[in-house]
Amino acid sequence: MSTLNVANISDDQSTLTGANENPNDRLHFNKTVDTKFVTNGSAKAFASIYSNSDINVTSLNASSYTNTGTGAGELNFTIAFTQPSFKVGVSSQISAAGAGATMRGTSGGSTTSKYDIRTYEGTNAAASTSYMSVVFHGDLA
Amino acid sequence: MTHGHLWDRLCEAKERLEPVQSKYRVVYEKPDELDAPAAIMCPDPNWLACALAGDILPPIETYLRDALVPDGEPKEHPYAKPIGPMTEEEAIEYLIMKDCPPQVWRDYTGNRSILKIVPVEAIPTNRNFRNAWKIKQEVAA
Repeated sequence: MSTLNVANISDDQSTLTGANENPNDRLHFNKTVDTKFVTNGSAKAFASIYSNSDINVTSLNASSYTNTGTGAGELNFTIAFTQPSFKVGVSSQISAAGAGATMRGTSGGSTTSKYDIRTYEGTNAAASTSYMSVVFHGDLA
Repeated sequence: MTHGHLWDRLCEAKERLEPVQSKYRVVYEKPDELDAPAAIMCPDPNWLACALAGDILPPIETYLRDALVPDGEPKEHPYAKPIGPMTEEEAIEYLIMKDCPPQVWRDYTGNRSILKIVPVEAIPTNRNFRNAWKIKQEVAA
């Protein structure tokens, strides 16, 4: 595995003119950023969970998933985060019946080393899901 | 210190190792939550590949010591020297100590079975009455 050492990354917007130029882009004038904003801003953990119990092979920094009941589970991290509030879970999932469903984390059950996940069907009742995915950003310990 | 951060080893391992789906699941009940159903823990395939390969994961003692460290304080496990390869059974024991509450695997003194390692086939695929699942208590003849 080779390493590319770059201190800054530039989108080189200065070369865009005419129709390609977008003055409404808020980053229009921020043409160069420190590389650390890119590397530190990448996802620090992700996982796909199916049948509300098993982890798919697509994962990073996850050690296990524990199904704790109907529509409830905990994703455990291999490397802990610095603070529970520093991570953000992004999710998408489908209920067992094939209908759309909602998913959230709990602040009470989540810690720096695990994320407590709850899933609900349209009637707001707890429901197991056929598929869900989670992504976490934040600072690792 | 040449082993670097655990994050670097996890990222490198994800590029190099094939995920391994475990043939085991861990079923446990929390002794202080009498009405809670049995929890079912599934090892992460990428984590298990790291455990079997060796020289990636830190000693389990570092996780146990870090559990006592307040949030925001420096943790030991990301920087600890990695341990060698484990068998799948040793990896499951490691995972129990890492991701199961200590009151389940260390502090419990009752005579009820609250922790079992079972083959995947022993877990029902039908999730009906999931919140009523308990570990079957087998009485010796």
